[in-house]
Amino acid sequence: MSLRLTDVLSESAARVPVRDAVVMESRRLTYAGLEAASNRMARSLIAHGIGRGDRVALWLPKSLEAVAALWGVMKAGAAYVPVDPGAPPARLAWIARNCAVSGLVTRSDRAAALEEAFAGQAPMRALWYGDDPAEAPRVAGLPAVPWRALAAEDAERPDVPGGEDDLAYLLYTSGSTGEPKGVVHTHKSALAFTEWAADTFALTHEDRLANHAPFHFDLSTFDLFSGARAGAAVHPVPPRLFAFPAAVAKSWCAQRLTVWYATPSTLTLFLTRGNLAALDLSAVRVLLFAGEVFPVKYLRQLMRLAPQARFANLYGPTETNVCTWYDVTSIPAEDRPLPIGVPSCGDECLVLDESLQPVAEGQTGELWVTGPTLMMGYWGAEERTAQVLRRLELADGPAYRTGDIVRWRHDGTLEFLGRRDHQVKTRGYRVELGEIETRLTAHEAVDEAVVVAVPDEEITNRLKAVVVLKPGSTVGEADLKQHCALTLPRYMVPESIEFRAGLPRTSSGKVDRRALQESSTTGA
Amino acid sequence: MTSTEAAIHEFLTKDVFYDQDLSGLKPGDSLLERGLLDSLAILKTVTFCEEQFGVTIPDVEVLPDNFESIQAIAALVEKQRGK
Repeated sequence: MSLRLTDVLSESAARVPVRDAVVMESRRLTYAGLEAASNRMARSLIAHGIGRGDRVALWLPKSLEAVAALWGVMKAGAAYVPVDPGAPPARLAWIARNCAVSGLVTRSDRAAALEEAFAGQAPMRALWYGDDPAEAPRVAGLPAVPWRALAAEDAERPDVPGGEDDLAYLLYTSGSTGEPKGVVHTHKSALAFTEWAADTFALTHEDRLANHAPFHFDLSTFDLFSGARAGAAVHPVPPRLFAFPAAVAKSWCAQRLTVWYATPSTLTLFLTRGNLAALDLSAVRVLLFAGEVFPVKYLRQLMRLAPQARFANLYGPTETNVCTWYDVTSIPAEDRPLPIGVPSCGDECLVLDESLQPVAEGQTGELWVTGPTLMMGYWGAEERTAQVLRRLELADGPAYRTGDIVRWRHDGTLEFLGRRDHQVKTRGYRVELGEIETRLTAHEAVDEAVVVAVPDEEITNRLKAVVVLKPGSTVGEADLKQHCALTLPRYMVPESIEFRAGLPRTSSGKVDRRALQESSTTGA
Repeated sequence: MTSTEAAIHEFLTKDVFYDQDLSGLKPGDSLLERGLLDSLAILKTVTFCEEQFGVTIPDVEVLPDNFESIQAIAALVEKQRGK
C-alpha cells in the first residue's frame, strides 16, 4: 500500500514507463514523461519556497500541463486547489485568499484578468504558466515561470518529507451561507478511494479512461488517481469539445476508451443529443456514474447499447468522496431509482434519526458516514466543520453528516430519498440555493430572492430565480444574471428570473418555497 | 453582418454572454476560445436558431466546427434552410 498519492504515479512510471499516461487529441505524455514533467514542476515550486502544507491553485483549461502541474504540486508536498477554469476571476481571487495559496498555475491569456481580480493584493509568491508565452506576463510584480523554463529543472523526483495525513487537494463546493467551502482531502483519504476503485473495477495498464469531469469536481479523482495507479491512459476531454455531447461521445468511441465515468446528465445528453445509438460502444468495459440520480429509462437505453460493460452507481458527497456503490448487475425492470448501494472504500454508513439513534430497516433517516475517505474538514472554517464532522458514540472516528435522507432496503442496500436542506444538483454539480440567493439579494435593487430547482429530465434540475425588487427600483433580467456571473460559476447562474410583487408566505410568515416550487414546476 | 448573423449576435449578447462585452465581437471571431459556451448554452442556441429561423438542426450537426463563431452558426442555419 502506498503512503502518499504521488507514489502511485512514481510506481507506474517505474513499471510501465513507455505506456501513455495522458492523451489529448494528438498530444500525449507517457508515464516516464508525466513523472519527469511533474518532478520538474515540483522542483520549480520548491525553488520558489513552496513546500509541505502549502496550497497551489490551478486555474487553466484542461491540458497535459494541467495534469503534470497537479501531480507536481503534490510532489512538492503541497496541496493542489483546482478552480473552475470558467469561474469568474473574482471567485478565483476569493478562493486564493481563502486558503492563502502560495502559487498559481494558469495560462498567459489570463494575466489581465488576474491583475484586475487581485488588484495588487495577491497571496501568491509566484505564478506558473501552463503555456509558453513569448514574453512571460507579469502580475503585480510576481515572478512568472513559463512552462518551457521547467525544462531546466532536474527530472528526478525531489526528496520531500511527507505522510498520509498531509493535505493532497482542496475542492471548493457551493456554500449555503453565500461563500464556497474548501473541502480538504489528505493523501490517506484520496488513497482509500483510489485503491478501492482501481481494485474493484480491476483497472490495468491496458485500460483507456475517459476524463469528463473537470478537475475541480471530485469525479476526476478516479480518472486521474485510480488511472495512474493502474498505469492506464487517461483521456481528458479537450476544452473545445466539452460542450458538445455528439463530439465527445464520438471521440470516446473512436479512441475505444474502455472505462467511462461521468454524471448521469452527461450520459443522458449522449443519448438524447449525442447520437450514441449510431456509435460503436464495443470497447467499453466499465461504465460508472455518480453525482445525481440516473433516470432509469436512460440507464436502460445505455445498458442495451453496451451489454458487455459493467455498470455501477457510485455515491458520495465531496466531503467523503465515494462512500457507497451499487453494482448494476442486470437491466432494472422497475422505474424506481437505483439504490446507492453498500459501503465502499472501508467506510461505514449509519442511518440515524434526529436524536442520533439508528433507525430500523425501511425507516427513513439521515446518512452519516465514517471511515478512511472522510475529508479532514473545511479549510479555515472550524465551526462549519464541527457542524458536519462529529464524534458519535456509535463510531470510532469522526462521522460526516451528509444531509441526505436515506433508508436501508430489505436487500441490505441504501436508497437515497432526498435532501434535508436546499442543496440541489444541476448537471451533476452540487449547488446550494442559498449561495445564489445571497448573491441576488446583494444587488442594490433586490429586496428578496428565492431560487428554485425546476426538475429536468436531461440535466436533473434547471435553476430559476423569483425576485422581488425594492420599491421604486428597476433592474433587468440580463443585468441580474450578469451580477450573478461576476462571482458565481456559470452553472450557478439562474437560467431564468421571474419578477414578482411579493413572495408567497406560509402561515408562520416564512417564504413558501413549496408553493414557488410547484408553480415553477407546472409552469403556472 | 448578415441579418442572420445580427440576430444570433443579439441572442448571444442577451442570453449567453451577458457578463461579457461583445460590442467588439466580429462574426468570424471564435466563441469557443472564450470558453463560455457550455452544454446548456449550446442547447439554448440550438433552440433559438430553430425557433427564430424555422430550421431543424440535427444533433449530429451540433459540433464544435459549426459553433466556432457567429459566422459558422449562421452558415449552419443557411445550410439547414435548404433542407
